[in-house]
Amino acid sequence: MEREVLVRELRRLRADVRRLNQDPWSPAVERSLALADMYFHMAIWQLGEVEEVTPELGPAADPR
Amino acid sequence: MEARPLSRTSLASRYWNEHTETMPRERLQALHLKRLQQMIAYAYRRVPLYRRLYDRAGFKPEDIRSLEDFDRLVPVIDKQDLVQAQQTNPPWGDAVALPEDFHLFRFQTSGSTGVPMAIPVSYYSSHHYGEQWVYGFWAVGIRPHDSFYFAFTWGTFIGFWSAYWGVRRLGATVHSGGGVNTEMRLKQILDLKPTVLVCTPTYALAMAEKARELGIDLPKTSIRWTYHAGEPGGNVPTTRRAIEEAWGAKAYELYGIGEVGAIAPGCPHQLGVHLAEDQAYATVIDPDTSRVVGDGEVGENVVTSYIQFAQPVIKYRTHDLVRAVRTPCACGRTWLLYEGGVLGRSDHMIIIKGTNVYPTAVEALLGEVAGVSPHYEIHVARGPGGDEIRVKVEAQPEVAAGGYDELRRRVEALLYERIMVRIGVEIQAPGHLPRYELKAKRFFDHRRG
Repeated sequence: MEREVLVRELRRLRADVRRLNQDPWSPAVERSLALADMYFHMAIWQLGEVEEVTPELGPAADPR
Repeated sequence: MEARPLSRTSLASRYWNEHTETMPRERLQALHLKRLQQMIAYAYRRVPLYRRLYDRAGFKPEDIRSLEDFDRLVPVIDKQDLVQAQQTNPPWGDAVALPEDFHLFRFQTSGSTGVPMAIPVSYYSSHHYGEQWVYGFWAVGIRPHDSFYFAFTWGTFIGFWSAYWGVRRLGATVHSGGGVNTEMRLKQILDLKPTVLVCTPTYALAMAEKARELGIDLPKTSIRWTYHAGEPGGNVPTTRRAIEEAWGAKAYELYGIGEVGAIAPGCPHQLGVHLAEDQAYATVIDPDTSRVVGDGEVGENVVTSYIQFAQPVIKYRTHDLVRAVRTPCACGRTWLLYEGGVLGRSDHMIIIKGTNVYPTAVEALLGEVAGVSPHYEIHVARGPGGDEIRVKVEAQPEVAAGGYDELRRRVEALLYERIMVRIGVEIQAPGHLPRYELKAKRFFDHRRG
């Protein structure tokens, strides 16, 4: 897979995970999805891209 | 047997992340600029200490449009700035970017240069700290099927906690050597059969000494790699050779700074350590003039972390003396190489008759003298003609006390021949000098007070 395609897919997955977490099903599931988002962020970062500094704050806390 | 969860393709890769590890210099510099801009904006927005500093320096984050702007406009900070911030408003002061809810760990430095400094690490930061270790593990052939023995007490010193996060990232096995003494650790290594030993270089040698006493033949154990941090040694050729011979294993080191990250994993060719350039930026400066020195010149390492989110460190004076080279390495990495690792400390600088003497150079030479052990201390005092050095070093057990004088003469002659300054030597009996599990205290500065 092309790097650009992989980055695009990962960003789409992040958006999906964050959307699912807007209405948390339980603390356990919310935390798991937050960690999934964190790992997607890390993968994008490892591909040499720039996302927000840390996903821990959520995108709104770190405007670009 | 079921395989660990990595594909055959990944397992065959020479690199943990080839894309960034072999990135051409031009693209690395472009990536640095983007990450520096982002980190400065983050710190300016969230950390009062940086906002004050940058306002006083007269620039805004958007003024950083090139790496030259960064080098020219952004002021350096020092450990003292962070310590002072914490002391003014404990426990964190105004140097943090994340509220306490986001601090997964709270560590502190050893306080070897004064007051201990608190180091908050967020959950996400801990993954990146670990990632830096994995770069080093992977490069030398360590894989998820390996198992690690941690000869570490798991205290408040971040040290090998980050190596543990690395092993978690890698997906390998962890054996904890916490809460037991050296003898027990050696027995656990025999029982558990780990392939990697993680500890300081000094402690690897202390374990070897104990193993000899107990009649344990370390090269016959399961250890294939020893991985070190916390102090120089893993890149001092004679010390590394002593560890490798004692353990029958390959020895590597990672250069880390607790408050910044595990920034530079070892070069698999043992030429030094590589700055993980996707996670940190570095310039090397003359510690007296702050002028950026050229490639290959020795100077003080000034680093910016992209992965310390809780207490950002931007243009941080490390006081570590390094020789940085940016030409691609024989190992294939384009990342900056600190040749020979950390060479010394700018605050441990010894100048005798105009000659810089690096403690690691003394250590390397001691290792060349047969009959001398790796246990030594360097004492510096102010004499009538300037700095004076005295080295205390233990003899090996096989050297009779009657031979100490001859041994002293040989060590002094070698130091003079290679460093060209007179260094007094005292030979000590085996076991006379203290042993350390974490940072060994090798350097004693009597010049002040």
